[in-house]
Amino acid sequence: MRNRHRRIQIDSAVRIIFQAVSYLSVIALIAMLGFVFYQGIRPFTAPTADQIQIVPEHIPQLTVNGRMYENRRSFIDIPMDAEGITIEFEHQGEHLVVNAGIDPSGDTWEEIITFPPELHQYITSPEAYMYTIILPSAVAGLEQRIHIQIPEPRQQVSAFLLGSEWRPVYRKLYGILPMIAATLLTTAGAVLLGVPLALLSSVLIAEFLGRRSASLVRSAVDLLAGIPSVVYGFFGLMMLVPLIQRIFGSSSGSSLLAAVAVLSVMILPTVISITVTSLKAVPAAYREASLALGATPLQTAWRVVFPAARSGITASVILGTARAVGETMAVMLVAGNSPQFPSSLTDSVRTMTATIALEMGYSSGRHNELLFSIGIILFVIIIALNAIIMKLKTNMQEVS
Amino acid sequence: MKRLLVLICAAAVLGLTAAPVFSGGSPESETYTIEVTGSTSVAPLMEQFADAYRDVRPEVTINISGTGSGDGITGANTGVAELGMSSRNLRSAEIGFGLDVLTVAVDAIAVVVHPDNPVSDLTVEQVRGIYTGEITSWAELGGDDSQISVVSREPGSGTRGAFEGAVGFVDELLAGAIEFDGTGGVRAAVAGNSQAIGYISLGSMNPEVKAVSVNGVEAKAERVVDGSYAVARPFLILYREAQIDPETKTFLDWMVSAEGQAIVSQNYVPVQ
Repeated sequence: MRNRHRRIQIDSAVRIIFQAVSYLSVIALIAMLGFVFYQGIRPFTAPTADQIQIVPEHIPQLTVNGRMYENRRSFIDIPMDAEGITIEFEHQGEHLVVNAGIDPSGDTWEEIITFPPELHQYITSPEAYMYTIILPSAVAGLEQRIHIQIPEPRQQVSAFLLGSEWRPVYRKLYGILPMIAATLLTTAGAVLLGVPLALLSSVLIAEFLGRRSASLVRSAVDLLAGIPSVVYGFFGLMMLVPLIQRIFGSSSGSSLLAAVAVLSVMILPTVISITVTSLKAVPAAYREASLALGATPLQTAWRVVFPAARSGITASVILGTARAVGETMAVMLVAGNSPQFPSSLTDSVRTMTATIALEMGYSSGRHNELLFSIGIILFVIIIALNAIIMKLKTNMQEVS
Repeated sequence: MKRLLVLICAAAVLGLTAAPVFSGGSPESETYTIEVTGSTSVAPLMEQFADAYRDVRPEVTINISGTGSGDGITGANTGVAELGMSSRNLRSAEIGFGLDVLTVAVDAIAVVVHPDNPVSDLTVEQVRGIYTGEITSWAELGGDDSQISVVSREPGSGTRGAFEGAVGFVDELLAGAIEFDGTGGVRAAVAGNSQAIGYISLGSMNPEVKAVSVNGVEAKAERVVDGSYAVARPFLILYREAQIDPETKTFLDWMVSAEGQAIVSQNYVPVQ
């Protein structure tokens, strides 16, 4: 009796462990989505900061709007509704006063702060939303500088999705339309080129090859699925890119065409394996009936088996599409990664996934957050593709 | 059977949680690991530093991850890594982080072409013209009559920022220029294409590509020292003085000591 009691206790303990482990994937999904959405939505909801930020360099002591700072090395915040900025400091033994006006309603960032005309020769703008006042010094490298950063306003969704300039570092232009176009073009190209190939080989494997050769071809296809994508990319970079350059006489072979070619091979295994499975699932009675009516095997395969497996085939094509949308490494190596609208097949393009992978390590601030926003767009595309598959599955169940 | 399973699970959990405690309290002499992250251009130099420092202080391990200058600056700012590496000067927005900066070396950025390319000298204006799309054919520069394939680094790259600053065009890269992440990617792209032009850290040069002289000055460390080679940038180490371990401070001092700078002078320009 006691023994039985202990066994029940152990059972329930094991069950708790099992449950925790099996929910791990759900927890991981929620954590990941939460993080991506949190980061990716922020640029559209709020400006980068609520204040104007000032930081001095090589100025040991300065007074900003009446408050004195010594050896200040981090930002001094000025609220946007302040009447102006008054900075006082010593420059080469002289007491200097910089007065600037703030107009928070300015349309462009250049209109927000106005400097007096006598100061204009010292003011530079190293990047958008940033002024640097540089005062000369007898020793090079020790110039006194004051950096004034104006917060970037809320990012417009339309400017993000429909903007055609991606100049994230200095000009702070964040338009991803060229990347969306590149992702759609490479995916469409890969589907147009890869899917017919994949469907033909699936029919061959499922309907015409003998058992041994069919399994041989299938295992070759499965092996293709196991090759890491960086190997595809490397092969493309070393073989395909020079070949395209030679054939088309373009300045570089890194191009839309190279990306499409590599991707179309990469989606083959996904499409083939699911299509073969759904072709095999068509009841043998269909084939027998068709053959008994005098149809040839080819007619049977094309007119009877193929339509009967329609939903499975559509699902395979959609899964292949999702693979092509999400592929990063292989495309990054062969596509050239230029954020432009391609005008020909030999132009270089940059997909959304490549943008994230290329710039994540180098970005900061809003640029970094907007890379997460690109992630959200990708996620929406994948969700849409998955929704179509779900719909197909329910349709299929209703039919059978 | 089930009891065995539970025992194994329990043992595994115990093992996992206990392992770091045991290794952390190992009785050997005090070991210390310095985490360094940042620029892919500085990483090769940092690896040389780490190799040599193993003989100086064997109990110190230096973990280097080359991910990008932006990562290095963010990492040092947030405290993810003790030391950050950057291959460009801090941008205005980053100065406000209040990081301490140590310049460990100066690096020239070599403008590179394919070894078969007859062009061996360019002016800064010509380089700017190529990168902004005003010059599109090698014939305009005394080379073969073929289109120029422009290879650049990705936006935010320290090398790209320093190069664009030195050559004098900012965010005006021509649309259609190929962008690669990492010095190795640019070098491979130029090595494999006789029409290509790119730029890489002088310390990462190899015979697969040919460095062209800029304004008639060869890309060499000596030419950077005398100030005649224009396209140069500093290698920076970023940290917070108040938060680093004494062991890390020793390492920082060692990098700018005569011994450390001797390593720098093999491929780069020492700071003293």
